[in-house]
Amino acid sequence: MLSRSTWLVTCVGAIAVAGCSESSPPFRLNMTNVVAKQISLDHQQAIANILGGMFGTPDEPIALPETGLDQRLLAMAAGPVWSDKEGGKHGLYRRHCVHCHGISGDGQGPTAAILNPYPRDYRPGIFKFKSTYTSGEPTLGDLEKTLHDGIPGTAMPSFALLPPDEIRALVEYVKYLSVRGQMEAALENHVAEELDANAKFDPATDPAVQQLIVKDLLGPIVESWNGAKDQVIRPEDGAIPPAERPAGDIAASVKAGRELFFGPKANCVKCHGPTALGDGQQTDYDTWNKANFDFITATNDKISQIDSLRQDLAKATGDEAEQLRKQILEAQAEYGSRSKRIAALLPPRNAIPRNLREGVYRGGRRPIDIFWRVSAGIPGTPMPASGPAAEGAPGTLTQQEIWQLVDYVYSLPFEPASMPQKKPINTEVVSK
Amino acid sequence: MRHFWAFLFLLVPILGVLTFLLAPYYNHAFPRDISEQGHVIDQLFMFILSLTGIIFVGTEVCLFYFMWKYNGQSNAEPVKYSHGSHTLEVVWTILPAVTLLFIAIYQMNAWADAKMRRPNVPVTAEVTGRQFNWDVRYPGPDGELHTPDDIVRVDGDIHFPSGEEVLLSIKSADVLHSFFLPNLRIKQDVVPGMQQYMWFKCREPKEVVDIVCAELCGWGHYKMSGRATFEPRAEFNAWLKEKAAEQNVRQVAQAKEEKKEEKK
Amino acid sequence: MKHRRLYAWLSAVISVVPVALLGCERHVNLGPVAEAGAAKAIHEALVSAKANPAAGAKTAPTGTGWATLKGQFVFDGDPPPMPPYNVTKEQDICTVGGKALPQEKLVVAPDSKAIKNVVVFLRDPSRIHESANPKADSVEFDQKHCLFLSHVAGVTVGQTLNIKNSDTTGHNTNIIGAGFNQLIPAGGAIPYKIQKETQVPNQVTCSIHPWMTAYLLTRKNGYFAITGDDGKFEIRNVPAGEPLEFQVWHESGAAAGGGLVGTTADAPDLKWSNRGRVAITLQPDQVKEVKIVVPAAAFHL
Repeated sequence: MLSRSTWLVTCVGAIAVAGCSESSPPFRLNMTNVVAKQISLDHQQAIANILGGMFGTPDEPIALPETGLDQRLLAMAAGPVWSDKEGGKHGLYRRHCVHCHGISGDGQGPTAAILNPYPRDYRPGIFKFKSTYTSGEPTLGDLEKTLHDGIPGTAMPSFALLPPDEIRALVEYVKYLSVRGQMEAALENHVAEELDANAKFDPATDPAVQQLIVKDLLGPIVESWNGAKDQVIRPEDGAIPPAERPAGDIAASVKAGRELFFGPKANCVKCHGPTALGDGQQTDYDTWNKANFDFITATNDKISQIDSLRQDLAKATGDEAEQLRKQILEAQAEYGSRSKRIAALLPPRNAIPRNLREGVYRGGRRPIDIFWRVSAGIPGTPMPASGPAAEGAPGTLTQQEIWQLVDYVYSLPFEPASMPQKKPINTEVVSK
Repeated sequence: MRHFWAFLFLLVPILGVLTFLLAPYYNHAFPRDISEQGHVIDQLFMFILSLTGIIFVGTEVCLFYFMWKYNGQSNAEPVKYSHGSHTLEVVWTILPAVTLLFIAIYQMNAWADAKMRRPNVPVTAEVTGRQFNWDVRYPGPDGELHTPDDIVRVDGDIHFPSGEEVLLSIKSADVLHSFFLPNLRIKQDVVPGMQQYMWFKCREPKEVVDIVCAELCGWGHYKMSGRATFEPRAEFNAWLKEKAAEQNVRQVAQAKEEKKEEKK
Repeated sequence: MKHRRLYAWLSAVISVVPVALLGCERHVNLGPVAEAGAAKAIHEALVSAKANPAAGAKTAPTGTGWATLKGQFVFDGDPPPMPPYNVTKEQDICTVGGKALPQEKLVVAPDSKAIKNVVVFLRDPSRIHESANPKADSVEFDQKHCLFLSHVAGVTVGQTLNIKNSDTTGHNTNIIGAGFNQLIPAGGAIPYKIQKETQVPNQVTCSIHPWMTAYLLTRKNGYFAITGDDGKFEIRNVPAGEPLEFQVWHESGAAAGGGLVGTTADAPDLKWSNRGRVAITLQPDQVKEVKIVVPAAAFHL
């Protein structure tokens, strides 16, 4: 009996050890997108292989020359956590970031579910707090600033105490995860749009596919990142209010900003609410939550689709009935794979407009930060741009008006809210 | 080995005392004290450590003696049970009670200094713990907090004037945190919804020390590290001015991320 | 003996714990992982591909001449009635006489059953007739009564979308996926130059009035058409003598990506795929006219 139990313990112990020691976590595909686009298993594998060939693994990242990424910096940030004898730190991403942002930068690390807002998913390549025009990628300086200051009002802490080269390496790795994620989306899009379910898709043997993925798919992504430096919004010198202003000037500017806030031109009041507590339009989603929300909605739509097909089937006969039966089976299979996927999604959350009276500014509290937020909007969120969409394009507000709004935003935490007008969500309270 | 258990238990006081004696040589003792009031805390600590140390060694030696004397292999006599001694029980109840009472009275002044006698100086800064960062707000030139000229730092690089009383107003934005300055022997739990103060004085002119969050429960408190720089008032004021200017940037060319970008 | 029993119990407990832990993991399809060998082969191929930059030219033209495809989309049966828009604010501006306008998810003419707002465009043409070259002019895109007046619009890359706001309230126009989201002041207009081609029309929304929805197709050439009230479309000067593939799209299309699958009983040379794509080869100077009947099941509403 003793020998049997010893055997049992050893056996189970071995299983437990084997099951727990997954030493190098792999990159995974964006399965929500894969399921939504109904990409076949072969194509899923092909996409995973192509991404593996272009970007390597979390332990051994590859900086393909076409991406313009820095191999040395990636190597610093990637891989498992360890320290060498000289005290050099390795595996920076997994040391500092992975538990929220996840191994593939999908914002679904183990702690993601308990955080509000959810950690950023880097894969769409959209960043909220940056100095560039709405459609532009952030500059590396923008990402460094986010790491340096953290994001007040969220669970993103400051990493200012890390040495500058480590911050630089982490920024490069975030860019790497973004470019990889954007490439993955481009591949999935291409496969879903252009290829038949059993078409071969292998760049190792097909030069046309090589050309396609490097030039047509990767090209625009890298171009957008490299062009970020030229996309920086630079306020005109003439419009910038001087650092030292008489109180009367500031008050006048604040007053003008207040007019804009409530007026039909800037319309801030519609979302930020008449009290600026962020209690206006609260039912919209940001682009990351919208992806999940749309996926869930489309899945639920499948149920009614199956129902209506069933009703048709009851009336149909012969070949038509056979056809309908096939369609029902297909729809049911798709519903099945979708509803399984939903179990893994973070529940979608609404994008709540910022409460401007708290004086907490997520993207930084310098006037230039607020100027950028108002001018370019906040990409990925419902917050629209009020400045131009690109260099030379016309803006909705003039730069002077944007600076007035900046002044008004700064005054809001100190503006007496003696008559709180908080009203229920989604009702109109401002008369024109 | 007839006395195996006796010797095994004798190891406990020997190793225990050794650990404490050797700790300073392995850099595991107190961090350097740079504060004016920290020695009081250290003395209290040493006093209580010596007191409990003596009792600990005495108890352990007793244990060893009994195990040695009543070892089962050398004693054929069966075990005897007694109901106990009333006198002994009274003695070992009263002795600790008196000791504890003594400590309570002895440390009263230290407690009052650390937690009750708030110095009558303006607040140097407001510290807010949030998941998971220490945000610091300095009053601007008007000397008042929560006015438009405040200087807000969120990067964990916190400066304080040295050689004078520093008064912090401290609170939490979300959950329990614990603001801990080991080199100043001061630690304050922060409770959401509660306004608290802590004060200290750095006697060294220029020091850079760690700030940590001493809150144990929760996954991210270890990330709430910071760096406190103590410097003479003039330097501190210059630093504040520099940060106020940094916070007031309106031009791209002045922004620090832009400067970095250009260097590349 | 007692001890043995204890050991047995212990081992039983120990053996149950890891099994229980393993069992707790949710059954989520994590998807495939790159195969090291295949990834290496691809990497080597990509690195060496730069040496021979040949290959990869787009489909070469095989035919000559030009042809025209035109037709009409007709709904088979009775279309479901459209509920009104869910106007939750600014009733005086966003409704007509206090009544919200009906939604435009499927607009079918009551008598002719013609379907409005169906998008037809040619995929990957091998050559482009000069009449279908991208334009550089300006296209009006207006909003009134908190609705986009062109519910489905199409433009070429390089054209300017003049986004107008004829309401007395402010709007913002968010072209999802294009990185454009700008305030349009009441009574004002903002021009937006089209940058990128899309395979599927981008959704256009307004965050302030969440019910507002439109679709914007942006193409690199003029080979596209959007049906009007009469359900008719015409795409002129498409390459003849070679296989063409047209995409048919509708915002409520049930096929993948919004594809709309119709039937063309009188034109058997049109081959429909289950994604709403039609394959056809036209002869030079041919004008092909088709009547496309769309069953109710091709829409999901």
